[in-house]
Amino acid sequence: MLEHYLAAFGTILLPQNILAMALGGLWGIIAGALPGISTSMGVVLLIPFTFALSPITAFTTLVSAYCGGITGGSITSVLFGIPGEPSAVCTVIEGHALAKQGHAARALWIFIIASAIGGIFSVFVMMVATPLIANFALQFGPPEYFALTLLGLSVVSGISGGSVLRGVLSCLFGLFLAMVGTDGITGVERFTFDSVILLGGIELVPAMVGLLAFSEILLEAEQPFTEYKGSAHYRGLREEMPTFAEYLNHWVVLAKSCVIGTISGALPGGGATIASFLAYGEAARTSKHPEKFNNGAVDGLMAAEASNNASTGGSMTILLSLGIPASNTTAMLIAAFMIHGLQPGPLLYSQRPDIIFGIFVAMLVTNIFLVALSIVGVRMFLQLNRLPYAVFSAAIMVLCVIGAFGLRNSVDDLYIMFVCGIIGYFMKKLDFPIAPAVLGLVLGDRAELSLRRAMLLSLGDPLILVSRPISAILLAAAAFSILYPIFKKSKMFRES
Amino acid sequence: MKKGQIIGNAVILVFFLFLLIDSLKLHEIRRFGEMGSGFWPILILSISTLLSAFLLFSSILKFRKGKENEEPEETLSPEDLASRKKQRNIVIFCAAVTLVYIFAMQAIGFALATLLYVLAFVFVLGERRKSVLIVSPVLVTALILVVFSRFIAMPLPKGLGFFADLSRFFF
Repeated sequence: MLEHYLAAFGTILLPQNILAMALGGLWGIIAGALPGISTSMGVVLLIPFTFALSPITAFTTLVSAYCGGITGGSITSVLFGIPGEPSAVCTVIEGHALAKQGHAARALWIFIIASAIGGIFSVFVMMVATPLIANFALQFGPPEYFALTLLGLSVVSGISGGSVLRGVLSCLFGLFLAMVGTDGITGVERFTFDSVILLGGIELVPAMVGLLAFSEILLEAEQPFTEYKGSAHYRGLREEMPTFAEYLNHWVVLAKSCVIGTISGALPGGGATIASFLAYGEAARTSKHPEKFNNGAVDGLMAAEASNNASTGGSMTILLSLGIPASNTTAMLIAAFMIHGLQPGPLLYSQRPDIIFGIFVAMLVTNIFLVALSIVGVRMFLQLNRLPYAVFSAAIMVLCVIGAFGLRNSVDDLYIMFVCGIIGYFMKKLDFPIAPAVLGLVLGDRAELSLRRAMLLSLGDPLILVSRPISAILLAAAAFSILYPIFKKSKMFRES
Repeated sequence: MKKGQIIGNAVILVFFLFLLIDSLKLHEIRRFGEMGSGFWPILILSISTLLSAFLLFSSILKFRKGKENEEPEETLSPEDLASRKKQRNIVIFCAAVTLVYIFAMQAIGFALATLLYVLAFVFVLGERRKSVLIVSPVLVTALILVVFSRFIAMPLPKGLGFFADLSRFFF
């Protein structure tokens, strides 16, 4: 294992990978900071840039953007009181309160260092947990894979957005998109309606770019974001740098938040938002100075930031070991793996350790790098903020078009992106979450193939899915993740 | 519950129902001992149809309940109505300009199409400052061309005839 780590460090510290890390991280910070561009959208827009890169450089860029996005979401929270990401809501409460008291630079330092601590902690957990889970998952056969895929789909459908029904329908729509094209086993055309464009199926990148990014720009066009117009003032970062003792005084809060964040990130559907709320709540409950909460509590800010960054390592552990996404952004990363001809999951760990260990090391170095990148990011963001909104939108739209075009250099993919963008716009208007549809599209093929293989194994007996213990447990968990929110909602309804 | 939402839910039901009917022809396509091409689509689309019917039904019920309880309907002032119409038009224009861009880049090449697209898009979004309208299309196009054509070497569409020659001048 040591030789894998040494080789990975050797690769990641090459100049091209350091550059990839810096650019990816900066883009992530900017994407996370700007409302209207989420971390997942930032990762999707970055995918076309990675087509020409080697897999290791590509994933260094993408995971840096992922980590940067979570960190960047807090910049606007502190400076303007507007969360760039939902996971930065708790940061608004404490960080912006500090900023209003004239300590924006201090709040920025606290969140930057706490984020780095959370991120680095979760990477170490990821390094230990991924091989263990991947080795266990090597026992999985087609029924277990089908159940696992179903669990991934059900969890994201169950938790994203308000209505479970809409989440499930969105996921089913994604599964339908994955069916379009020629069936790989029988060679039959499905839902192509005699169109040549659809014969090869719906490509992931154009569909994802359309559903996530194009639709968002259309939605933003209705009500352009103009709330940043007042510029932020803060004293020099150097003058307000907190001391090491200040972090040491809050080590218990930091440690607890790191653990909460990593576990929450690893739970499918948990993610950074839930992590930050849980850790913030715990910090408020156990604080020696609860009266300071809502008024610039340093421990509250540390808890929120350490936990939301710690969630990245947790999510990546599940992605790399089991191949299922625990968050929206890791769902986008699955698509990136597929584009580079890789399938995340237990086999990747044994077949391509260079990629797995490369990602471990890239995430570790990125989290250290993010301290410096965040300071650059804050300054860059304040400059970028002066750009007219319309120009920014137009540039993103051109990036969407290039992203959809670049994979196969085909204009057909642009039509797919356009149609998916329009569908995504109406889905958002009708309150359908987009993430389950993207996940359905990404995992649809695998779900169908695993089911068909399982049926072949059992000679058509569907009981194989519930007669094997791991598969049965995973299916029960999938059913629970769909039914629990419904049960909870109906209970709340009855009580009210 | 708004009427628009009920119409949207009805469209979703019709969409899934149409696909379900279309998928039924796949039912018989299978090899011996195999699940076939039709099982998964029929399963997924049957569930989708059922759930979308339920969604439509529950939205109609909510709408009726709202009417029975005489919940005040959303009333908009003429200014709000005009602003809503304007917003809708902006979205339609943005989508239309993008569609034209996709068609145009095949004929006039990526560089020129992008230049015109950025100008049109920025204008549709309400930007009227001359400096921004002149500088931003040139800047965005140049940046994109440098990164994707020079750095990543992506074969971007060059256009036809005279436009292809023009494109070769830039990338």
